[in-house]
Amino acid sequence: MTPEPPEDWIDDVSGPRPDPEAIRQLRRPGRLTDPERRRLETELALNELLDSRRPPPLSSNFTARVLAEVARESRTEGSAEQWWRRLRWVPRLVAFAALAIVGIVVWNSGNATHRARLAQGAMELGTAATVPGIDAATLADFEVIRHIAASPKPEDDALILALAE
Amino acid sequence: MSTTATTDDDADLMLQVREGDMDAFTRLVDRWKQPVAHFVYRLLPDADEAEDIAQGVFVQLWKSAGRYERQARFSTFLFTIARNLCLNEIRRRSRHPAESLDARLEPEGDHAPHQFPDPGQVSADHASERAELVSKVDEAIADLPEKQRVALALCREGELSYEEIAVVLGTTVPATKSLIHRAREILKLRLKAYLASGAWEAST
Repeated sequence: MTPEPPEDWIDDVSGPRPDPEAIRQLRRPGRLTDPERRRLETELALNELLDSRRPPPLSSNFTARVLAEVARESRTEGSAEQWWRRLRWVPRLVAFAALAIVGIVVWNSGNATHRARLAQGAMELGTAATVPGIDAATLADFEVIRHIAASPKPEDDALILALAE
Repeated sequence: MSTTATTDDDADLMLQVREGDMDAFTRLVDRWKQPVAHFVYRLLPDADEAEDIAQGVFVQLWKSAGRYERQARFSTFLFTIARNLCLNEIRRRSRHPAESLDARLEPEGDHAPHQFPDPGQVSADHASERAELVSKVDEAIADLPEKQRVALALCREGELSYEEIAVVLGTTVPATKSLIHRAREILKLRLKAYLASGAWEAST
């Protein structure tokens, strides 16, 4: 069922805070047609019926109970806040630990790279020591060692082969 | 109580509550406890439970005070909290019907005098008619769609205008009027016999 939209006076009577003076005016003879008058009385009867369902008065200590509950909640929230304040160092500690871990990882990785370079240098030195014609005195000379290429150039290979023959 | 006369006062008090002023909060509770309790009772017609939920509304008001802005009418702020708590309770009941507080009530015969304390004045017949009428009205209201039920409760409480009810419901004024109108049409149909006989008048 789709009821028709309410007329203005019905809105006034069935809405919030109906105005008693407006109702008195509506009840005056000739103001409404008979069907409208019946409708008005039904609306007013429904208002009375709905308003007859009043709850018993509130407990006399209602406000006191609300205040006690608010105080209890505030204490709980206060202690939760204190806990939070106590735990405020946790995020800082976590951040510090993360930084420390990153630092250690970077340092370790740098160290490993350095060691690898040393090992590679030592290996190259060993290889160079086996090359005929390079004596220990030459190897001791750092500047000479520094100028030895990591791998022999093709012309050096050819020269070495020729010397070996 | 005139809502317009107290609006600015209530907003001022609420701003003080936001600063933690307990005296201002006490004044607001004293001023609004009856309208809130009546509204809750219209949606959850059990006196004890209505009082507990009304208490919860004010506790929530205290906790939400930080979110209150001067632009908002205090009454709409308060009744929005009340509406939300009532709907939560109604939904909780529908999810867990076995836990409904209704189930913990005494039998209806024992409960009726508690709702309408009129000791010794009302005859047994009238009390019985009255209990039946109230139970029919409660039943008819409980069967209304949720939005219509809340709109009707806010409307009959008489503290809010159509505009304020629309804000609480999160809808427009024409939609609010339509909700109330439809709710009343359904109730008129279901309670036709009682409306014609004026039974509530005879039993009060």
